[in-house]
Order: sequence, then structure tokens, then C-alpha cells
Amino acid sequence: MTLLEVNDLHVTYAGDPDVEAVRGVSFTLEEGETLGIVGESGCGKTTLAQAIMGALPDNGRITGGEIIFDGQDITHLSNRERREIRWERMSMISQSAMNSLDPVYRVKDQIKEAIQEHRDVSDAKSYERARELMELVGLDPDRVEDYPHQLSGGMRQRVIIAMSLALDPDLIIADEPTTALDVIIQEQILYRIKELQRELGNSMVMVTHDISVVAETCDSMVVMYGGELMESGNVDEIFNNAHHPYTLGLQNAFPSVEGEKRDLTSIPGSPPDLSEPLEGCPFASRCPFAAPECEETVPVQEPVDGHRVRCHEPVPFEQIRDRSGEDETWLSQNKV
Amino acid sequence: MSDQNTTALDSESNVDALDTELSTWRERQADAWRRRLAFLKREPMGLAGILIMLAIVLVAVFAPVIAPYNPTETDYGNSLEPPTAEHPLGTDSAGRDIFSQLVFGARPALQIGLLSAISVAFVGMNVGLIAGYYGGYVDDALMRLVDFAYGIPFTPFIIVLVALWEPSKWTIVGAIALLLWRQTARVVRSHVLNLKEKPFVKSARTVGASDRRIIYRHIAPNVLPLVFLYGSFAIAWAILTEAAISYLGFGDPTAVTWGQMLQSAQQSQALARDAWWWFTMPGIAIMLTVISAFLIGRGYEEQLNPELQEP
Amino acid sequence: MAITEQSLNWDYDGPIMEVTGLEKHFPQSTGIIHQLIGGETSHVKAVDGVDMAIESGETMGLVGESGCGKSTLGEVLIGLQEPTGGSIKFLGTELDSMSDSQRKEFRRNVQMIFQDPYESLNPRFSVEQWIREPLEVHDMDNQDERIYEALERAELTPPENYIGEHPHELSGGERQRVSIARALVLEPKFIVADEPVSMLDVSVRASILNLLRDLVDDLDMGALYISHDLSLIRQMCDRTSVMYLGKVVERGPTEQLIKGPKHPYARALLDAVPVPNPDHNISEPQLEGEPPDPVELPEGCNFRPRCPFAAEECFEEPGLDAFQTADGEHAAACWRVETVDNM
Repeated sequence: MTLLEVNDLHVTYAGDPDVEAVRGVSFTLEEGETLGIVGESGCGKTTLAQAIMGALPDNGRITGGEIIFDGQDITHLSNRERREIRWERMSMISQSAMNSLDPVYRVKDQIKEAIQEHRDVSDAKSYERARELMELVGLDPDRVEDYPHQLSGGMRQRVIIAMSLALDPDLIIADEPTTALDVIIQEQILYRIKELQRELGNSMVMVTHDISVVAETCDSMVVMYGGELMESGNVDEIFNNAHHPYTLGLQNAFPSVEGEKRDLTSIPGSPPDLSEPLEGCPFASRCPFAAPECEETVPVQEPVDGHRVRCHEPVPFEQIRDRSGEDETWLSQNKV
Repeated sequence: MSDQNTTALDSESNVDALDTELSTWRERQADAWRRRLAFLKREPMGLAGILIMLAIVLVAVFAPVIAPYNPTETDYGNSLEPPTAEHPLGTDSAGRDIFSQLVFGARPALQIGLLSAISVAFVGMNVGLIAGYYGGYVDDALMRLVDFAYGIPFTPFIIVLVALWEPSKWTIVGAIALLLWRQTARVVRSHVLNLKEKPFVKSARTVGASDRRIIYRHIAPNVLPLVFLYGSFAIAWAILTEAAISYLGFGDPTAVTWGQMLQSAQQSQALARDAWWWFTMPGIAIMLTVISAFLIGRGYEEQLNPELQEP
Repeated sequence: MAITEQSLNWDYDGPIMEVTGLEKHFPQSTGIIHQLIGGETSHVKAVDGVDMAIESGETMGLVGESGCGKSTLGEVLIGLQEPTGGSIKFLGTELDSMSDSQRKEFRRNVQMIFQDPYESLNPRFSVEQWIREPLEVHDMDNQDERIYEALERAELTPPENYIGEHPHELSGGERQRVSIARALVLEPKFIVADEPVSMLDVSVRASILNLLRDLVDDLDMGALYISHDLSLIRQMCDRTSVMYLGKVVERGPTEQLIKGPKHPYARALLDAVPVPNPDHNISEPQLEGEPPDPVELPEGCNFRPRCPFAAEECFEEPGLDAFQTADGEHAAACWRVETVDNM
């Protein structure tokens, strides 16, 4: 069953000038599934996550499209109605969350507060729940008595995960949950998140810049660039059979400790200015395969081989795939 | 100009390139100014402060042109006149024109304010920079000095100073310089503690830059906005202090200042004699100047906080 | 006045940078009462007896978790921090015994590239001012030419487009190139790069890594590349040292180390790196918990309390010679390499 459906979503930040950070993104998330949203800084992935969560900054507004959660249109709910869904039915683990714990309260009080905010539960019961949650995320339950500064960064992030699980939500949105952490702690936390998801059966949206995290933890993925969705589908499909030059560029830019060592490619140029209106494909200016039509018309999202690609495919995609692995392909484009 | 261009750059395209470069440079400069001044739009109070201050500065500069009378000229035939067409703000008990006194009073007020601000900024910034950068014993010693300065009550200290030296505006500037640097020093120091750990400071050490170079070329420019902020508050404090000291009778009796005006009004019992124009006018002048300095500082502070987070 | 005005030994053909038994211990403040009753000051042993030699034209990788002392080691090597023990030799000359003029030469010849491109440039300096500063400090001639050359080497071309810019007008990748140009403008012989790409977008990382690698080759510099990510180390480094709690626990040619790590910590570190391959699902972590506080270190092998293979013999501290390949190139400070390999 579909838990979350996002249709042609647009989000704009009011300012001088206005910035349209998300420009028509659509995808669906099935129950129990994990969806990865990947892209580089400024591609709109965090904005997208915040829009779903109803936690956009004050100057951010949904300017088009809809978000349907469990059959209910939640695009334009009032703050009060939103609050009922938030944390109870969907929760968020954000990049900076581990620094958002209040330094003057013990961990137990913060978890208890998260529970009692939404449910009429006695102190003793919510204290029990806090200890249970600590154990769930792999922390010593006695550490509920600690203050945040007594915990390491990795432990604080685990506390945040515990809080996000407190009300047993159907959907967890994780926005770069391990970016500030070392590889060893990252592995521990991602593994714990996946284990919990298996046990509790909730769905997850994983927002990250790291395609290897998506490869290891997600079922399906969307690749974003310039506020738009470039390619989406099943993780296996996208990794083995990517069509979009940007997806391929990203994959070839990513180092691996697995297999034989290979040279990495880089994508010269810089992302588009999202305060400008859209003309053509946002990636056209950096794409070595771009043809005149790419600059002029916006490609539509077309289903290809079991996934969706938003590309005019100016040259046959087999050629795109072969040539995108060579650094010269990308560099030659820079010189034009 | 075009001759030079053709000798320096032989092809036309180069001239074009230079032209576009120059125009983009100009645009960028203009942009930078627009951004710097943009806060005024968001901070109408700050704008109001700047406008009032500007008006006061103009009055001070053009005092001889604006003032209809010599402010010290007595005219006992017209003493204690209420506002009339001849004396728009009336006269005092010696028949001196209040409006002219007010106009000339802007001069010492601004002198004291600016000199105090500069000395507070100079002393506070250097103490803060040195304490924060060197740390250890230097920091301990300087910060104890700051604590000591905090322990001295302001007004009694100035009265003692006036008694020791002589009643003049320089004494007041000196007293403020001796005491009010404490706050600037403390704030600057805490910022320096933060700044000196920044990679760009480490980078300066890596290339072998001297301590002096690091302090004054790398750290100081980044605390300057804060120093400016505390400097603008010092203007307000200095003007208030001058008024208070003069009112208490420790000022220079021959000077034309707003504080002196209040003092002579008090001594001549202006209130009992219903000469409201004598004491309200200098009061309003002091209030306006102090408020405008505070507004500028406040507006700037509002502006500063988000900007400090942006690299 | 210094009588010896001799310069460093530029004909030295040994390692450009060599450290032996290097230590950097930070005293921990313990409070007055503790000191009054005669308690001993405890130390954080950030770097605790490191041996390392880096040749010209070589990039040494240094990998480990945060807090393992890798950044401290980098800063000690370039003289940003004073070591508390051991020796540092640059071009064969002991740092401690350098004359003032030699010290100045050392200062000019070792440079660093920092992690955060947003904080490692002074926001108030233009690119030109920022790159000129080292030249001013060292009173060098032909400054304009050197600045242009450095910008070109850092692939900021044409330089005219960049010299007037301020940091906020540049992208993260461009800023990092400016940092590289500033480090290069003094034509250093040794360079430390501390996570230089970890804050950059994936699509520009490769170009910065390639640039650094080419520069080390072309200019015949020695380099230390610090990172917590072995996949990045692999792209950059000829040899790699794995650091844990202030000590090097494994060292070897990078490919050899990645294909066959020997120390259990190196194995865990490698296993933890996510792989961009959907067939590779996240597996149960080999290591639980986090490294202990480097104040009270365990007896014997540092890694023993977290090591899944620890045995009786691990109560004795292993040196890097506990395991060595025949050519001595690959070494690990672990008694149980063979046993674990056979498991």
C-alpha cells in the first residue's frame, strides 16, 4: 500500500529574490519501504524533506502540487492539524538534531516530554518507555539520567533516533543522519536504523549526499538536481542501469574501497541559480551531452526500463553510459 | 584615457574586456554598498537614529550660521523671556538666547561623544585582542584589570577625577576612556578566543605570519564591527555623563554645554520661576542625541548578529 | 646573533619528513585541590610514539576515527604545535636543533591545506591579498608572477578572473583551490592536507583530489593526507598509516592494505566504509561502542578492550614489528594477525 505520495511539489522561499528550491517533484513511497533522496548541496533535498514533515522555515511555502500521506491530503493542513501528524505519525531525524538536545535537561526528561506532548501517559510509564527506547537504539538505559554533554556525538544522535521512535510513527524522515559522524559510528547508526525498521515495519525517507549510503540502506531512490527530480526508481535498477548523465556522473565521481581502483570523474561547473525561472533541463549547462533542445525545453519524466528518467537523451544512452566514465568527457565540456 | 588604453592593450577586444571588467567592478562596488545600506530599510529605527545624528552634526558644524545670537552674550533687559519671534526658544535669566546656546552646545556634546567613543574603542579593542590572542598570564592580568575597572563606580570616580584635574570636557573624556573600555575589552576578547581557533588564523601561522600581523591583519578586522557597536554606545554614555557632571556642578562653568544650561537653570530656580523653556530644551537635545546614538547601535547590532554567522 | 647562517641540506636524499617516537601529550587540568594533595597530572595522549617517514613525491595517507590524534599529528609535523617528545627531522635536520634561518626555511617549506573551505580563508581578504600574504611574510621577490603561477597551478584560470574575488563570491571547490594556491605559492617541499575534500560536493571532490595528486608528482613534494575515509585515501595515497588512540597500528602500501588489512581495527574501519553497490547491504558492525578516553589507556594493546579477537598475549603491547611482510613494507601492531587470517 502507498504510504506517501508526492505529486508535482513546488516549494518557494520568499526573499529578495524568491528562490524556488523544489520545482515539481513526484514520487511514491510504499509501506515498509526505504526511499533515498540523493543530490548535492542546494539541490532541494532538505527542503523536500522539510515540506513533507511540515517543518519548512518561516519563509518557505508550498507553492504547488500535493503531498498525500496515508490517503489524506496534508499539503495545506493548519499548524494544529499538522502537529497531530508530526511525531505521532511521522518523525524526523535531522543532520543538526544531535546538537538540538537541550543542554540543561536530562535525556529522560527530553524523551518523556516528546511522549507526553502527544499522549496522556503517566510519568512512570513514559520513564519506562524512555529506558526501553534507549535500549532499542543500543544505549545503556541508565544513561537516561545523563545530560546531553555527557554523551558523545554518536550517542546523542542515537538519543534523537530514540525520540523519533517514541510514538511509533509510520514514517521516519532521516535528513543526513550520519553526515557529521565517523565511518565506524555511521555504520553502527545506519545498521541500528535498518534493524529497527525491520522490527517495527515503518517506512523511511533517507536524505543524503552519499550514494553509497543509499546503496546500502535503501530500496528505491530519487536523484535530485537543481530542485528537480532527474531519475528515480529501484536502487538496483538505478545503480546498474542509470540513464541520466547526472546520475552517471555522480556514480563515477564516487570512490569505493571495493573492486579495482579506478579514476574518478568530476563534474565541472556549478549548480543552477534557483532564483531564476526554469528554462530547459537544469543540468544542461554542465552536461557534456547537452543538445540545443536541452537548453530550451524541460524534459518530461519518462518511464524507461522500470524507472523514470527526466532527460531528452540527445545521444543514445548506451553511449552516455560508456562515455560518462571518462574524465575527458566531462572536462572537454568545460572548455567549450 | 583612451590613449593610455590603446598603448597598454593593443587589441580592441582587450579594451572591451577591460571595460566590462571595470563595469562589473563598479557594479560590484555599488552592490556592496547597497548591501551595506540595505539594513536601513529593514531597520527603520536605525535609519531614524542616523538621520537625527546627521542633523545634530550639521547643526554643530554650521553653528555660527544657524545661531541668531552669540550664546554667551548677556542682555539683562530681556531676561527670562518665553519663546518669541525674536528668541524662538526664549532667553535665560541673563538674557542669553536659549536657541543659540542649544546650537553651540551641540559642538562639545559631539566632541566629547566622539572622542570618548574613539578612546573606548581603541583601548577596549587592543586589550581584548591582546588578552584573547595570547591567553595565559597576559589574559589573566588584563582580565583582572577589567574586573577592577568594573568594580569602580562610575560617577564618583569622575567626580574624584574632576577634583584632581580640572573641570573640563577632557577630564570627562579621560574618565570614560579609563573606565568604559572594560565592556568592549571583554566582548572583543571572547570573540578573539573564538576567532583565533579558526582555520584561517591557523593558516596564517602556517605561512609564518608574526603575532602582530595575525592580530591586526587577520583578527582585528573581524572584531571591528563589534568595536563600532560599543563605540556608538559610548557616545551616548559620554554625552549623558557630561550632562550629569555639569548638572552636579563639576563642569567647566565658562563652557556652553547642554549640561551647563541645565545647571544654571537649576541654580536660578528656573522651575519655580516657570521658565520651562530653559530646562526642557537642553533636556530634549540631550535626549535626542543619546537616543539617536543608541538607535544606531541597536540597528547595527540587529544587523550584526545574523551577519556574524555568515562567513 | 646566529653565527651559523647555513641553510637546510637540500641534497639530502633520505625521507623529506621523518619522525621517530613522536609524542604530543596534553596535560589535563585536574583542579587545585587535586594538585594540592599531590595528585599526578593526567595527560591526554593525542600522539603517543609515532614513527613515520615520508619520501619526496610520495603521499602518505593517515586514517582513523576522530579523536585518534591524526589531526594533531599533522599540526605537529608542520610546526603548528610543539611535540612533547620524540624527534622530527626535515631533510635530515632535527627540528629542535635548527638555527633561526633554518627554522624560517622550514616554515616556508611545510604548508597545510585545511578541511573547511568556508572557514580557512579570511573573509576580508581578496584572493590576491590572501595568496600574497605568505610572500610578504617571507619577503619574496616577483610576487605578482608567483601569484599568477600559483593560481594557474591550482587550476584557477584565467587568474585575472579570480584575483579580485572575495571568499563569499567563490564556490566551495574554488575556495579549496585558493587554499591550495596559497600553500603552493611558497613552493613548499612538504604539505599536510587535513580532510581537504570532506566538505565539498561529490562532483568536485575528484577534481581536487586529482589536482593534489598531480601537484605532489610534478613538484616532487612529500605529502600527508589525513582522512577518516579509506575510499578517499585510496584515490590519493601511495602508502597509508592507520592510527588508533595516538598510535600507528598498521602501515602499508595503500592497495595492499585495502585488499588485505591485517590489524582488526583496520579491518573494521574498512568494513565500515559504505560501498556504492546495491548488492552490498549494510552488515552488522564489527565494532561496538566508541574509542575509550585517551587519558587512561588500557594495559597492553590499546585496541584490546574493543577487539573481537583479543587473547592473553594482547596484555603485552605489540609494536609495528609484531606483524611484518617479508619486505617489511606492510606492518601491523597486532600479535594475532596470522590466527585471525586463518579464521
